[in-house]
Amino acid sequence: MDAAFGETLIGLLPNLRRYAISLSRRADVADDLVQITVERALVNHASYDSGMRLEPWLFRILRNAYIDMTRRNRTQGTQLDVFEMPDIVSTDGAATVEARLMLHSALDAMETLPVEQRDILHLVCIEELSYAETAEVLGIPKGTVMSRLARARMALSEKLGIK
Amino acid sequence: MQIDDETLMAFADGELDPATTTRVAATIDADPDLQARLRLFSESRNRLQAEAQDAFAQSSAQDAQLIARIRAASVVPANTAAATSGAVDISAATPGNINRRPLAAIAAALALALIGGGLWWQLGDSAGSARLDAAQVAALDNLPSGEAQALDEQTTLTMVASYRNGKDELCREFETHNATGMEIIVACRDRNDWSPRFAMDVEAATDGYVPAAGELEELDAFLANTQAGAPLTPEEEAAALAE
Repeated sequence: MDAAFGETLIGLLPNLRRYAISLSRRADVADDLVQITVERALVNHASYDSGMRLEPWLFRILRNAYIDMTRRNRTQGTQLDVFEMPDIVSTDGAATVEARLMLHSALDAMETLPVEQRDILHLVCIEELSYAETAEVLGIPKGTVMSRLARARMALSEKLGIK
Repeated sequence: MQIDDETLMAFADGELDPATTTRVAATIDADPDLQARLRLFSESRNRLQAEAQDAFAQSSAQDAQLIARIRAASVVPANTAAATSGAVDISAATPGNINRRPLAAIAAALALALIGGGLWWQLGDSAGSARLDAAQVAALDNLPSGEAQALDEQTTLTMVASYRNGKDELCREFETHNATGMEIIVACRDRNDWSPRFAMDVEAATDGYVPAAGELEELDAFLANTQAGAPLTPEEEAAALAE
């Protein structure tokens, strides 16, 4: 493994940690996720295409580690993708009330959104990944990234009272 | 020209090609409604970015250790595991053959609570009275880390990791799961016989309380006391098992 890869990886530790906290919302789990990501990156560095930026590659590893972890969490029962069921979101009375309260902090507002929306907002707006890179991380088509992201941005704007 | 929300957002994010950008900009210029709608997208991004700068903890107590780990990997000529196996699909679930802390996190995620401190035992170097059954020995001989197999209808055995201890013996850690909890066992190989060296019962919590990661302290202490080395890679493990 060349030293440049290692130094870039070290430089991205804060970004990895930030994304891990955003996904898991727990500092201890985030530490574990970052550690797993580093180990997997070191073992698999040969599969990294150096023509690409390292960020999306690492975020994808971290996100898969998070999914593995939650997949093993059998006690929580079946996890549903809220995004595939917009009806559930739109008929949630609590969410409607919350939106009217108008949150002042954008991050607090993001916290109230479903994980799929937080995830995509974090990657594009905070980590500044391109749509194509985000599609790579999430394993979904770019068109889906755009429609999800647009809805997440609208939901966030509504909570923030941006008109 | 009609501009939908996604195009407007892509414009705000600088994701449109130059020609489209020019056309969209001209249309927005002439339309106050579109200008207002554009703000939904530009403002949401700007505010998130501004707040994120200092909102997230930038470092953690484990950073120094990770940095040392990465630098150590950089000076080793080449990682033989990755070099010989070529490209590895990172999207595939990776075996749990990594280290202790992921297991601790998984145990936490499984909503398991450790019951008391009296349910674990630690044996000396000579095999004690406790015995491994034939199915467990077969798994120790053959099952790669990260994989699971059924022992009987209620019980599943999951191989966690392999490593060498301070005496250069091959040791393997595994878990057996059933409906009421799990047992964590470490066995080491001594002249082709596997002997159990550590075992701990973990019972499923009844009230849904989830312990924080890192509560498997007895196991951590055992691994430290026996000078457990780093977990073997899948290739090293296969070679060690074939010895």
